[in-house]
Amino acid sequence: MRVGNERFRRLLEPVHPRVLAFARCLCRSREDGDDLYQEAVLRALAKLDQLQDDAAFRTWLFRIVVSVHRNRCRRAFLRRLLPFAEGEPDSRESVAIDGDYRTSDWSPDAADASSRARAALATLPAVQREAIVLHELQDFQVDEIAALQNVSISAVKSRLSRGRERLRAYYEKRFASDGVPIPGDAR
Amino acid sequence: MNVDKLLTTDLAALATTSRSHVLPIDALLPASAAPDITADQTLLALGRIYAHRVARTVAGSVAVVMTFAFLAGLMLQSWKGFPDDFPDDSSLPLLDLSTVGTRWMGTVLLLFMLASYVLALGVADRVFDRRTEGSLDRARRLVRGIDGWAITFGIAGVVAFTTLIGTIQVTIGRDSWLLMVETREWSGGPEIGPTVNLCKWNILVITAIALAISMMLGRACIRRASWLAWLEHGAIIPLGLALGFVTLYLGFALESLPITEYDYVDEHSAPLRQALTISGVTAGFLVVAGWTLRRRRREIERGGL
Repeated sequence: MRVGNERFRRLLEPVHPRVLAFARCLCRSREDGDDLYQEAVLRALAKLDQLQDDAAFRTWLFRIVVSVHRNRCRRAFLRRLLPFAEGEPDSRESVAIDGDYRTSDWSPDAADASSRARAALATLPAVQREAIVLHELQDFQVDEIAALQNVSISAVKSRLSRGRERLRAYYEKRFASDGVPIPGDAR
Repeated sequence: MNVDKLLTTDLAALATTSRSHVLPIDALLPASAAPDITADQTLLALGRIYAHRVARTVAGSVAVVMTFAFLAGLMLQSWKGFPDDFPDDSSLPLLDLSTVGTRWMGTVLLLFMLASYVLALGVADRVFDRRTEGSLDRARRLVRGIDGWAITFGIAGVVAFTTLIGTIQVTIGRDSWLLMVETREWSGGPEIGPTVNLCKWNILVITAIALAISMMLGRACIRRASWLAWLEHGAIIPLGLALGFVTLYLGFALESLPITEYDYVDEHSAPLRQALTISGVTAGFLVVAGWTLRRRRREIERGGL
């Protein structure tokens, strides 16, 4: 395990900040993102023997984060169907996945633009959110996202386009419903 | 600035903030230092709490399911029609209750509950080890996740079991095969059909209500409702016991409950019997809910939940 730890640390160090940022962007809060990342890292460490090519570590770790994220979303969605879901720590994640505008942490006049973006991202389905974050925040190319999400390039393009459209619709709806003008908008 | 530009700016801001305060890698990887004994003890305690909560859930749901199955069998028997004579052929599916007394029935149910409890304990123990992998956070999340179910089925199961056995015992007496007939005229006894029907419906309605109230308590526990403190109060269990004794006393004094082997229900006054049933179940519910919630309080303190 100690040898595995050393190898893992060597591989993790160069990609650590980037993958951590990706996990944080996927979740509703920084703390949830850290939690998601930690779970992914532990899973990666446990499965390190399965990684044949060290050069593929970055993509492999991103894929594990995506997998852990989807598992959490699925669990949260199932929990919401069960009668004892209200107090569960990650049950709100499912609310966000389904785009519940009422419970998002929206603040139209918030000085913190990132919290506004986080609230908007939380309304997207998991696959669209992953695609948007990878493409727009992590500068991944479409073909890289396709390989990571295990879908075709056209499917990724479709996810990006629909995700962007939903984000725009969300922004418009929230600004309109709160009666706050879009910052810098002359209309 | 239009929406698109604002969105792009906000996403860029999110990208920047998410890259700040990077966690040290050491904080993510399992510690290689000496093991934390306190953490290990807490993990052990959480493991025990989790296993018992799962076991209570499983045993309680077995009791509820068996009670409903038993009632379904009785209802089926009613629809098929009662036998005219001694109920030799009035067997229920899987279990011939026509020849089984209350004591046997209770023992069988209790054995099923105990067996499922022990089985669930073993399975839950392994599941806990596999799913927590030594992480206290995960362990606490796992234990909290089963909380509502354990409260619901822990209470509903015991109430269903005691209602089933208790109601039959005090209404019909030890010879529960009388549930299969609507008259005892063949043996020179009185008409007992209405009493038997009342008994069946009492069990059905009470078990359903107990399940609903238990679910409500389970949800309240998840939400950490403040009014639960009333049910956790030390006076609740003595209150339930006192109510139970008063009910039994009134039952003996006013209704001549058929507790002994050779007593049968001869006279029955439906309103009084209903009142006694409700009061008895309430007493049982108070005792079980009080005990379960106080035990939960101790678990919360022990496991730091």
